[in-house]
Amino acid sequence: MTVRVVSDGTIELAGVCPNEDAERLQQHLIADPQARVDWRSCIAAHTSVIQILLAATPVLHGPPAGEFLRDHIAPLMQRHGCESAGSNPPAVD
Amino acid sequence: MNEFVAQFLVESREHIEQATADLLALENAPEDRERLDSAFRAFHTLKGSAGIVDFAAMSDAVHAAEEVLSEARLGMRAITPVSIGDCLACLDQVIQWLDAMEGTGELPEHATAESQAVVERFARSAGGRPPGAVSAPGSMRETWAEELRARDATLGAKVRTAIRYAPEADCFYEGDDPLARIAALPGLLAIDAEPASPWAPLEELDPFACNLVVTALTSSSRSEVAASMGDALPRCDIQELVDDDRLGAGRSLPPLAREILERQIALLGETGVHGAKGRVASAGLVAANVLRHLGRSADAEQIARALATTLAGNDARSLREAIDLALSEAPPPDAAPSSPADAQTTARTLRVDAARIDALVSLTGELTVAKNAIGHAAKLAQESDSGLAVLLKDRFATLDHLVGELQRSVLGMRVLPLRQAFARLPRLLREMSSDLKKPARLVVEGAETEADKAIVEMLFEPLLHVLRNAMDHGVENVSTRAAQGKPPVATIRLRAGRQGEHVVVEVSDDGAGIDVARIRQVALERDIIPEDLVAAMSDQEATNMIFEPGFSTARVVTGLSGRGVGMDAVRTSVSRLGGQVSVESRAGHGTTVRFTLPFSVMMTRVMVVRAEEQSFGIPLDAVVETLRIDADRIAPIGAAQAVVLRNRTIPVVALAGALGLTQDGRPTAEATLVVTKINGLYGALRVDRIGERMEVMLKPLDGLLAGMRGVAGSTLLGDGSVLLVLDLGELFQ
Repeated sequence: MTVRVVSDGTIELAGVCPNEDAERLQQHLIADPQARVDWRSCIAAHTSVIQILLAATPVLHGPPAGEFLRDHIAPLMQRHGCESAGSNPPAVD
Repeated sequence: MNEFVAQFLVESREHIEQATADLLALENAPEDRERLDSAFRAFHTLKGSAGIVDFAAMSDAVHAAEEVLSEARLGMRAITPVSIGDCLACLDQVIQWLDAMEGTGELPEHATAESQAVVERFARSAGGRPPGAVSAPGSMRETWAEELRARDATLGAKVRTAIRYAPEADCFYEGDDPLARIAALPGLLAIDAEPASPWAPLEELDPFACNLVVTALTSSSRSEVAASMGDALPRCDIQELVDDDRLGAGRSLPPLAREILERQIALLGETGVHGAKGRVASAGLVAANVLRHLGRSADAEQIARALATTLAGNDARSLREAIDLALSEAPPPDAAPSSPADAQTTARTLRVDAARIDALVSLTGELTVAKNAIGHAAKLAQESDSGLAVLLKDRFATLDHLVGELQRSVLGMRVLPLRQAFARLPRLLREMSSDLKKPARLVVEGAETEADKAIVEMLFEPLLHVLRNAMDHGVENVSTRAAQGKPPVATIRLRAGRQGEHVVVEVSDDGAGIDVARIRQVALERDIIPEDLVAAMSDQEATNMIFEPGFSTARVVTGLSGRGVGMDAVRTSVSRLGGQVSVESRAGHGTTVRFTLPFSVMMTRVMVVRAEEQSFGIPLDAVVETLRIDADRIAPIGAAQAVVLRNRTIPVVALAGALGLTQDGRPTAEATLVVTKINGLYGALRVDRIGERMEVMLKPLDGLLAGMRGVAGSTLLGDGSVLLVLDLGELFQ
């Protein structure tokens, strides 16, 4: 199981999260919109998983383990989270 | 001819060549942004040049094509084979005009009507939409790439390529992971992602539909990025970002300069105002000065030209476009590089009249003769045993070295890439292919291989002949190919490369190959070669008969080839420049015609032979071996003579007899033979004596001697005597 909810309600992403994890992650975030996502042990995630994170902009607990996630996706998340201040990020012009 | 017109003709032909190459490339890859930009620039510059020589009809015709490309750049229309055909037809018309102007120096007579026809053709293709309905192109560069770069200033000069990737919504179903593709890009520097359409509330979001547009910056080249994206490439827009620091001159404009230029465009927009002409002139001057100040003199010149056009035609359009182009930060149109790699080399080239180079070459030749004379003097001094000899020999060695260097660099100035000979071929193949209804593609390799100008210029006609033959006789029709399990589209490869002192150009097709049996049969029917010789011929020798005059095996004479004037004409023009042509064929697999050409026409290594107390040069390339044999081993065969060497029967020609120096030659017990190989065929030349070997500057015979049979040219020797260099091909015919 690469997506699971741990004791304090934090959603944990671990290892390599495949395509199917997107729906699970989405369900968890719908169930608890305030849940933090801990991706410190996440090595890689499918685009669909990252897409859910981008759309939901949860509070992320990082840095993630994977290099690409850490160097490129984490800053991207930060940009989107900060800029949109919790709401949906703006659309492309 | 007026200097402007002469310059116009030269430049226009270059732009036409560029535009043609770009259009043909676009036909294969309609999404190729670089080619599209380059084609647009070529047409744009053509239009500008036409304005300078007041050729309004050409401006109009070219403008119609430019509009099509401009709309394609703006994404308002797709590049289709029809639009490419229209643009090519437009170029054809321009070529005809240029040819006419070349002859008369005047603008062609019926140009207006012909131009109208071109414009109408574009209008028809556009489905009745009047050409020019879309206004002049604005700043076409999309801004996303620049924005992305601006976001992270620390990346600076490392950034080379930007990519924007919009995956298909259902790509997750196909197992695709778009971000993983981006992660795998070589030299990835930064990424960004935006929703393709605004995010739905989380509850309604489809987790299985991709709703992302990903952009990224990399330090790798456009082609590396393209290769890495693989089958996702059609969903990508890749832009190579030209960096200021790297180009030195500074392609991107400082904000102030940009503002000034944009203001000039705004000024030009106010038409019909009192004093419009003065306004236009000042806008043009300001824009040109800004660019000149930035060191972009080519762009400034472009604007100055556009200003002249505008002032003459009372239409601010071309000036506005020129400023726009400078603003769009594209490389200047004059450079019109076909790939980013030559962007930096074009600026270093200099246009020099070929006649001046030829004068230098000729002078260097004289210098070589003078040097050889010193060599001769040194030899004489040695014989008279004076101390001077050592000194002379020493100095001669230095001079020899220096003159050699000089000669190489001077000859190097006459060097051109073969691309110039190849450029028109894809276009012509496209035509042949549609005329003959045989789909074919041309794969060109090694077009950047260089050779002497004379070789490059000579090569076009022979290559065209061979290409025609390949399409006409070699490539089978579609149904035959299908029956043989060959791909329906034939592949013709044009491959060039340097091999030592030679340039080798090959044309190979994947067609039916040469029908050797039929060649033998035709040779007999037409009495080209005696029957016993035909029977004794190997398949290779029989195949070589296609180079014989009057030989054509086509059953039907078509408009393309088959009139029997092809291959012998090819051989003649190639051998005139010291080259050889050979053919290899495999039944059912195709034919390869190989041209082996000297890298430079001027220097020829010769072996000196003597016959009847006269010296002659034989090109050393052709010499296989020299030997002395008993004269009675030479046996008469009919009217001719032959000798058997290493189980091979080789025809023998007595040099003195062949040149008409004596009737029969003196009978000697021993014979000195020079065995040669020309176009794959062996022959032995009987001479009296074999002399030294030397490198000479071969001059073609002119005047009264021009038609002399068996002689390729002459050269001056160190002692001032003239050495005739023999054309062995003619001697053995």
